[in-house]
Amino acid sequence: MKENVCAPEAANAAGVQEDLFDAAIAEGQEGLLGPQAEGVPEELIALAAEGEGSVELPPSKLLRKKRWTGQSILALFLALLPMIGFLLFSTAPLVISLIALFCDVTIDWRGISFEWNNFDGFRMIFVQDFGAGTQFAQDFSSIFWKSLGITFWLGSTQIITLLIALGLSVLIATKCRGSKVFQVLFFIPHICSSVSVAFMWSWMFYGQPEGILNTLFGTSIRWLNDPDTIPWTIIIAIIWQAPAYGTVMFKAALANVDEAQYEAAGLDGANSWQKFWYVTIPGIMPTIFYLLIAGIGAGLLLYDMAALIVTDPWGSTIGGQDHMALTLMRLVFYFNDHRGTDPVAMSAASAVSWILFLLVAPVSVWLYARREKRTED
Amino acid sequence: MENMVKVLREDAVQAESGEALQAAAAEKTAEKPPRSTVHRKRKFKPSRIAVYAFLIFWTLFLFLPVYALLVSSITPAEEASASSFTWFPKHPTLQPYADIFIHDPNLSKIGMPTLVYGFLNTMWITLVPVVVGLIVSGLSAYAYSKLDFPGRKIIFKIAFAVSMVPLGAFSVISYLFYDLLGWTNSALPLVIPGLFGSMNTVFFLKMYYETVPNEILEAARIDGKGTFGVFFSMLLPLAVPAFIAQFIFGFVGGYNSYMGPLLYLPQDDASTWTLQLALSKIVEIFPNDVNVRCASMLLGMVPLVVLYCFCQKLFIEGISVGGVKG
Repeated sequence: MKENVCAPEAANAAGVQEDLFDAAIAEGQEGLLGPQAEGVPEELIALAAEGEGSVELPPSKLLRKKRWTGQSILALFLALLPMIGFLLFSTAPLVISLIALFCDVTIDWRGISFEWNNFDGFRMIFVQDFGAGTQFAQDFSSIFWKSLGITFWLGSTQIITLLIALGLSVLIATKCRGSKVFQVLFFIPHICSSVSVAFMWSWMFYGQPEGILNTLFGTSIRWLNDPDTIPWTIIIAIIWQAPAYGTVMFKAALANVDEAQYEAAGLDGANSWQKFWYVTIPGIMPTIFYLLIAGIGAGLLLYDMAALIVTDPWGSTIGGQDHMALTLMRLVFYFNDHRGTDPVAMSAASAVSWILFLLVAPVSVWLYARREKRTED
Repeated sequence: MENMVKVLREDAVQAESGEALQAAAAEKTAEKPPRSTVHRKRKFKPSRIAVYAFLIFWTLFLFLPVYALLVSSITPAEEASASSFTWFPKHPTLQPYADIFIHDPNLSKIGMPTLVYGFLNTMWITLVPVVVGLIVSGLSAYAYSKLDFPGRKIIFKIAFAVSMVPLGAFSVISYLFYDLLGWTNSALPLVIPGLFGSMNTVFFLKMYYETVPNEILEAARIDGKGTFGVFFSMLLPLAVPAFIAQFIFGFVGGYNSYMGPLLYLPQDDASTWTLQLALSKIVEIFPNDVNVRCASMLLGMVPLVVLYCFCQKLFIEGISVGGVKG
């Protein structure tokens, strides 16, 4: 329907342009006509693509400029550059890690060689006692399950983070005196590096009596060495840093909630709490979902904060006392660091990487579907 | 006494800047029509006190660790007690800040204090891929939105879908690939992939370009500009805000990145470390001086925080906009 209305217009515009400018720029006109006109050129593209190389194309001006010219090849090249980088530096490692799942990989001056290893990588992390027989002489199956649990535990901090961010942005949105100052201050943690935030909090949690928290509470808890307190040190550091981003995002979302809805609710006699619950929350639901899903995706890949606060002497206690700060990403890092110890290390690292990928992928599928939908709107 | 004066002066400075910001905020609200009657009525309710209580509580939570770091960095070693934290040092000193530069054990080995070398390394390792990648992404977005080639839309869709695959889980295992290329123990894996730009940036810039009317570009074309001429003389200047937002996003990410440098830079050669990597090894560099370590951390934060103070709006925009994948 829309196509019919716009087709002559599009052809017209393109025809006029044709006389004035060369082919490539005339195509820019297509965007000007808005989304309705897009149906037509797409068909033409398809037509041109089909007819590419054949001499029996109708000699229409519109179609002619869809063919390969110096301009369009240059445009295609420019357009594809990021994809080329992606294929080179993201897909190739992916393929190698896929091979490393099932093979012992050896890289030396002769190049790369693969040797089938009978699922040793999977056995390393799933079969009890398998790890004991390797050079590591450790049971990695129990470590893996523990690590999975800790990854989810630390990853779920994102939910608390989100609630804090929502609360703070609502408070800022009350536009009280100085709210602007608070907004500026609350964003600062986001630009601090994880190295400095981790250092700051490990200093706060310093396990001697002169440690700051120990002084405040009058205790002498060794926060960073006690398995009971280790996860909380990381969680608190995340809570210090992570809400900064959410606060900014929520603030933008809150500003977009339709003011008229509040007034309508007010006329209906709704109190502030009801307004928040029935107007604000539905209004910012997309942002809540986005931040939650993106946050959990990032949370599952946690490495920096855990590795920097609860440092790892790479001894028998990988990831701090009792493995209590061992996220899956740290486990991968451990295997990667010890690839020289036993060839199975890289297979195990690949296996854990792929498991992490399968945990995070659904999140991205959801994000993708959401963005697709938004693009169509 | 001197310290008291100093503290007071700092307070005054803070109050001043705070007032300035408040004044700016007040001006802004004054320009706008009142949001609504509902909002105005709430002004003097006791709930206001609760709002402030929460906001101030969070501010204290945010600044307690920063204050602790600051105090530790100016406490002379002999004043640090072993039984409790020294909240207010009697004789604060700036010597630890000087020690970063003059008592660095690597000074003789690499010719510069580790942190200064690290800062310079960070600059080139971050700026080269961010700037080149931004221009490449900009050109790519230009091709997708303003140029034409067969299959433009379908290629964009595929590129977009592919770029959504979350490959963060493979960031460590990529080591195998760079090992194969022989790039490990160098900055190449940190720099080269960024030179190709990213689809997320392309997506964002493309949306921005679509607000630029085509007539302007055609006018440039009539003036005899070629494909690149149109981009660099017209589109790029028009899209400067979008580029700055993306630049800040990339720069902050690069400046703060830790895992990449940890994976690929040689751990035994301090002259290759980035600032964050050097900071993460601060205990090795200054094993005996707690105050110097704290000073180093604060100094490492200064560049971004100062930049942020000068252009808060750009920062907030850049980071919130650049980070959105939806």
